[in-house]
Amino acid sequence: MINKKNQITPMQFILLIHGVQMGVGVLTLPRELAQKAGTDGWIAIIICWFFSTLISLIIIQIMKKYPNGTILDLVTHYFGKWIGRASTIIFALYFAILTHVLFIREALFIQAWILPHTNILILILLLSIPSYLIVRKNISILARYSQFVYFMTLWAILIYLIPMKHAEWLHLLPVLKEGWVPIFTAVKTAILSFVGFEVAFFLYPYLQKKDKASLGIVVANTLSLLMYLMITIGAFAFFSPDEITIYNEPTIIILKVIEFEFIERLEIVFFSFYIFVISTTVLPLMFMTVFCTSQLAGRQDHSRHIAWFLLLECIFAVLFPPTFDNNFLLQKMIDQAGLILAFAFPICLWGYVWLHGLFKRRASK
Amino acid sequence: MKRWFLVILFLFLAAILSSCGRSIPLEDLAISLILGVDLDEEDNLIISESSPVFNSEAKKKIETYELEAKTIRDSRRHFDALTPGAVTAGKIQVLLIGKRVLEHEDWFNVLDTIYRNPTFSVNSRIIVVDGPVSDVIHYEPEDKPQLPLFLKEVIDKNIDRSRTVLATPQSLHRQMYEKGMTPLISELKKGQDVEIVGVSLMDQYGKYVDTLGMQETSLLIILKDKQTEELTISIPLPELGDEGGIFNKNELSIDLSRIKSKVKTTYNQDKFHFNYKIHMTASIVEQLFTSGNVKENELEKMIEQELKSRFEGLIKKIQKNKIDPIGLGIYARAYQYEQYKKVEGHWGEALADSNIDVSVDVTIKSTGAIR
Amino acid sequence: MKFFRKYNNQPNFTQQHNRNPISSDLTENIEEIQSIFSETPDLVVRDFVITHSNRQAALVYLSGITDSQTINNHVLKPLLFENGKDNSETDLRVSLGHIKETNKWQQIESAILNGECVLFVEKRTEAFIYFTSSFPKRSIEDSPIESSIHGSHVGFTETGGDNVALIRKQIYNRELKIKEMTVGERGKSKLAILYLADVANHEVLKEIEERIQKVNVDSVINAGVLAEYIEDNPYSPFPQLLLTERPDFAASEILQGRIAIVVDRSPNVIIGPATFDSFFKTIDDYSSRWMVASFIRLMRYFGFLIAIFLPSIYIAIIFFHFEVIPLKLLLSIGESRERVPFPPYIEAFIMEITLEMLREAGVRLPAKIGQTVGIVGGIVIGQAAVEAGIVSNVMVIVVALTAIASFIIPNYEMGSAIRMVRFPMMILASLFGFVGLAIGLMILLAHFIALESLGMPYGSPIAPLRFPDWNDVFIRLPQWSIKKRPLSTSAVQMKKADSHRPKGGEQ
Repeated sequence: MINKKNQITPMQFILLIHGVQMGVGVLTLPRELAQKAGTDGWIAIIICWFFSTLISLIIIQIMKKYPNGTILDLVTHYFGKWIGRASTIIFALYFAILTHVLFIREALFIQAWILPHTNILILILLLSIPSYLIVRKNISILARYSQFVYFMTLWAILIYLIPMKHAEWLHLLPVLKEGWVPIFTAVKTAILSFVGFEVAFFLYPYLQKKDKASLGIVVANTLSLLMYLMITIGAFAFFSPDEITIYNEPTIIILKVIEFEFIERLEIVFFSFYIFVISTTVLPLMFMTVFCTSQLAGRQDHSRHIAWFLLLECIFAVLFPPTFDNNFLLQKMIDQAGLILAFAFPICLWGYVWLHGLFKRRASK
Repeated sequence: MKRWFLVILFLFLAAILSSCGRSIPLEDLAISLILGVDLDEEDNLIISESSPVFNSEAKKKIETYELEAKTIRDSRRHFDALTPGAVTAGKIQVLLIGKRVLEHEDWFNVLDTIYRNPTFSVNSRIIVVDGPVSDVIHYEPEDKPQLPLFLKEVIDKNIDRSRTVLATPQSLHRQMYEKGMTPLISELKKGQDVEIVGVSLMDQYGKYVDTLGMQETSLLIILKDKQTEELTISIPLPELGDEGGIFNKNELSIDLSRIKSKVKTTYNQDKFHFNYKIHMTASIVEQLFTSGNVKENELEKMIEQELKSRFEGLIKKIQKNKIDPIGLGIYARAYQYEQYKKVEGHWGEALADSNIDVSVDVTIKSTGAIR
Repeated sequence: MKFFRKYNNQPNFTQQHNRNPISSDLTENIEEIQSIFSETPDLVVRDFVITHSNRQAALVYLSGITDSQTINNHVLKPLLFENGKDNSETDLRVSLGHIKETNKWQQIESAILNGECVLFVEKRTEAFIYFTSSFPKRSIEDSPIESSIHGSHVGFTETGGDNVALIRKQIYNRELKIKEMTVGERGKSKLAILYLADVANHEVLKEIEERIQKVNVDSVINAGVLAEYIEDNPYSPFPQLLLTERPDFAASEILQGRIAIVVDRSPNVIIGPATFDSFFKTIDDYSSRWMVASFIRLMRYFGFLIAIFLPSIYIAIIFFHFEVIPLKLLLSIGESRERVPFPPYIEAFIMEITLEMLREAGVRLPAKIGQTVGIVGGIVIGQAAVEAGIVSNVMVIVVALTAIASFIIPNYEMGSAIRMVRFPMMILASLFGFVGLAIGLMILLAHFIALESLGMPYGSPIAPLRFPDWNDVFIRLPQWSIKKRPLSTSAVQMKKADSHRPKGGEQ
C-alpha cells in the first residue's frame, strides 16, 4: 500500500508534527496566557508540554500495534468496519473544521495586517492555489514542504531576538506570584497550542524508521515547547504585565519595533513570510481531511477531493462572510473536539488495545 | 481536456484577481512625516501634519497643514481635502505633542488610533513641545535638512549621547499602562531655533509634572540603567577652591563608561527601601585645573561626592512630585510583590514615602593624552 | 495521429524489401544499391578486379563523407596492386583496422550512410564494410558559452565519437560503460549513454533507456530536442536535465554517479539525473580555492533570488508597502517616480521586456553589431527613458541588477528560466504586494519540491533535506572533506554500495 517513494524520514516526521503545532495560535498565545496567569503563564506551557508528550507517546504505542496502517485501519481492525467508518467520518469532520478555522484565520490575518482593502474571498482564492498544488501530492511532498519551510523560516527566531533589547526581564519576577491556581487555569488555554500531534496517527505508517517514532514525537513536542517558551517569555518581558492583555496579537506588535538601516516596519515583511509558517499547519491538516474523505470514498487519489474542499471553502466564504468573531466562536467549538480527540481518545484507545492484548494472551493460554 | 480545464480555471482566477488592484503608488501619497497634536487657546484639538512633496517644480519640499479636528483619524478627512495626495500615516517619524495637551489628564486616548490601526508606525519619536506645536511644525530653517529628518536626527543623536530618552508610541504605551512607572517623553522648545530641552515627566495619569534638563536626564538614565553609547558629564569641583573665574577653572568633564547600577529592594517599617549601588569607570576628557594639585583617588572621591549629591537632588525632585520615571515600581513588584500589590494603585505616593539611598563608586580609567 | 500511423508503415515496407540477403551476383547487387540510392550523385561505385584473387569487385561509398585518402591508400591500393603469395580465397587484404562483414541490406545501407565503404565481391554472399568515414567536422575548441578560467579549454564538437573520446580521456576506467542507441526513424542519431557501471544507479539507467526507446520521431536535431522528449515535467520552467559543452564537467558528473548521453551531431551532452544545485556549479568551482568558490557560489544563489524577486519587490514596495523602506530612500524614490506617468508594474514591464529584447538581439547578431546593440540599449535607452520620464531612475537600477543577477548563473537554460519566472511574480506583486510574493514563492516551492529528474528528486539536498550533501551545495568545502557522492544521484540502495568504496568520485 505504501511504496518506498511515499515515506518520510524521522526528521520530516518531527518537522511535520512541529509544523502542525506551530501556527496561528502563537500570535495570540502570550495574551491568552497573560489573561489567565499573568507573567507566570509560561509555566503552564511546560506543564502542557509534559501532558502532550505523554499522550504523544501513547499514540505511538497504539500505532505500534498496527504499524502498517493509519488509525483508521487500526480502528477498523479492532472494532469492525462500521465503527471504522464512523471514526473516519469523525476524523474527517474534525480535520475539516480545524482546517477551515485556520485557513480562514490565515486569510483574516492577512487582511487585517497587510492588505486591509482586499476582499477576503480573493485572499482565500489566492491561498487556495498553492494549497491545492501541494496537498494534491502525496505525504512525502508535504513532508518535504514542511521541512523546507521550517528551515527557511528559522531566521525569524533571530529577528525575534532583536526587540529583546527593549525587554525588561524584571517583569517576569516574582515567579509564582499568585500561586499555582492561575497557572492551572492557563493550562487549559495552553494545551490547545500543542494540539496537532494527533496527526501522528496518520503519519506513523509512512515513517521510514519506526523505531525513531517515539523519539521523533518527543523532539517535535519539545521543539514546539521551545518556540512557545521563547515567544511567550519574550513577550512577557517586552510588554508590561499591565498592558500585554490589551494587544490582540502581542507577537506581531513586538516585531513592529524592529528597524534596520535598510528596512523598516519589518512586521509587514515578516507577516508575509509568516504565511509559510501558517501553511505548515493548514496544509497537513487539509491533507488529513482529504485523506479521510478519500478513504471514505474508497479511492486512493485525493486530488479531486482537495479541489472540492477548496471550492467549498470559497463558497462558504461567499455565503457566510468570515469575521474574526465567528472564526473564534468556531474555534472554541473545535477546541473542545480537539481536546477529546487528541487527549481523551488516545488514552481510551490505548486502554482498550492493552486490555484486548491482555485478554487475547489469556485466551491463547 | 483536463489541461484545458485548468487553463480556463487559471484565466478565470486571474481575471477575478486582477480586478482587485486598489492601491496607490508611492508618489501619489501624502506621506505624513510629522504629526502634531495640540490644543489652542480655547482648548480645541489642533492636528497638524507635514508631508514631503514629490514634485520637482514645487518650491517647497514639505507641505504642512494645520487644522481643527475632533480626532486624529477625523483629521485625515480634512487633510485629504487639502493635499493632492492621499494622506497616509505609515511613515510618521515624529509625533509632536503640545504641552497644553499634557496638562489635561486623559489626553492619552487621543492617540488610540496609533495603536489600533496596524498601518501606524510605533517607532516614531514622540516629542513634547514646550509652547505651541505650530511654531515647530512651520519652522523651516535654511541651514538644516527638512524638518522631519532634522528632528529625528537631533533626537536620535541625543539619545545616543544619553541626554534624552527614547520615547516612541510603543514605549509610551508601556509606560502609561505600567503601574509601577510613570511616563517620560523627550521635550523640545522653539526659541530662536528648535532645541532639545530634556525630558518631561508625567504622573501616572499622563499629566505633565516637571521637566528635567539634559544633565539631570543623563543622571536619570544612569538610575534607569539604560545608558547608550556615550555619557559625558561636566561638573565643577567646588572642593578645588574658588568659583573658577571667568574660565571656570574648576570644571571637569568625564566620559562615563561601564556603568552598573544595582538596586536592592527591601521592605521594612512600612516603607520601601531602595539601595542604589552605582559603579562606573570614568575617563577624563577635559580638565581645566592643573592636575598636580590633586591626587587621583582624591579626585575620584570628589567626583563621587558631586555625583552623589546630584543623584540625591534628582531623587528628591522625583519624590516631591510623587512620580516614578525610574521604574522603581518594577523592582518593587519583582522583589516585594506582596507589599507592592497593596500600593499598586498609588505607587507614586508610596515611592515618595520610601527611602532611596545612592552610593556612587567611580574609578578613573584614564586621564587622557596629556598630564 | 494520422501522421504517425502512416509514418510507422513506411519503414516496415522498406525493411520487407530488404529482407533477403545480398545475392552472389555482383551486378545484381550493384543494381540494388543504385535503386536504394537513387538520385544520389555523390554515390561512388568503383568496379575493379582484385589482383591477388582475380575476382570482379565493386567498392561503393558516398564521396562527401568518406576519407578519400584512406580509401585510396588503404583499400584500393592493396586490393589493386598487391599480389599476395598465399592465395587464400577469403583473405581480402586491406590495411584497415575496423572491418565488418555482412549480408544484410539494411546494414549495408546504414553503413554507406554512415560514410563507410562497402566492398562487394563476385560470387560472395557477404559484403565487406570498411570504416572509412570522415564527416566534415570542426576542430576541438573552447566552448563559447561555458567558458572557464582554470578548466580545460576543450569543448564538445558535433561528432559523437569525438565527444565520447573526450570523456574517455578524462576517465581512465574500465567501469566506464557506453551503451549505444539510435533515435529517430530518419535521422538515426546515434546516442551513447556513458556511465560508471559500479557507481551509477541502474534503475535510473533503465529509466533513461526506456524513455529514449519510447521516443518515436523523424529526427532528433540536437541534444536539446532529445532532452525535451525525455524530461520528467514538460510544464516546468526549470530545466530538468543538464546540457553541457564541457567534457571535464561531463566527466566530473559521470564520476558523481550521473549518466551522460552523448548525442551525435550535437555539441551538447545531456546529463541526468540533474538536481537544482548542479545548475549552479561550474568546473571553476573545483579548480579555484574553496573559499573563493564558496563565495562565488553563494553569489549565484543570491543572484537567483534577486533575478526572480527584485522587480516584484520593487513593485510591491512602491504599490503597497512603502513603509518598509527607510525614509531617505523613500524620498529619493518618490522624487524619481514623480515624473513617471505609469503605475509601477507597467514601468517594470516596459523595462524588463526591453531588456529581454536587447539580450535576444545581442545573442543572434554578429559579435560586432551585438556589442553596439548592447551599448545602445544599456546606456542610451536607459538614460533616455529616465529623461523622458517613462521610467524612474530606481527602476533602471533594478532592471540592471536583475539582468546582472540572471547572467551570473552559469547555466544558460537556468538563467533563462529565472528570467521567465519573474514575470508572473511581478504580476502577483502588483496585485497583492508582499503577500502575492509569498504566494508566488509558495507556488514555486510547491512545484520545486515535487519536481523530479529521471525519477530522482530534483531539489535533492535542499527539498528532501540531506545535510550530508550540503558540503557541496551553497558552500563548497575543501576537497578533502567531500568524501561521499551526493545522495541525489542514486537511489537509497546505492548508498550502501557507495560507502564501501574507498574514495569518492570527486575530481
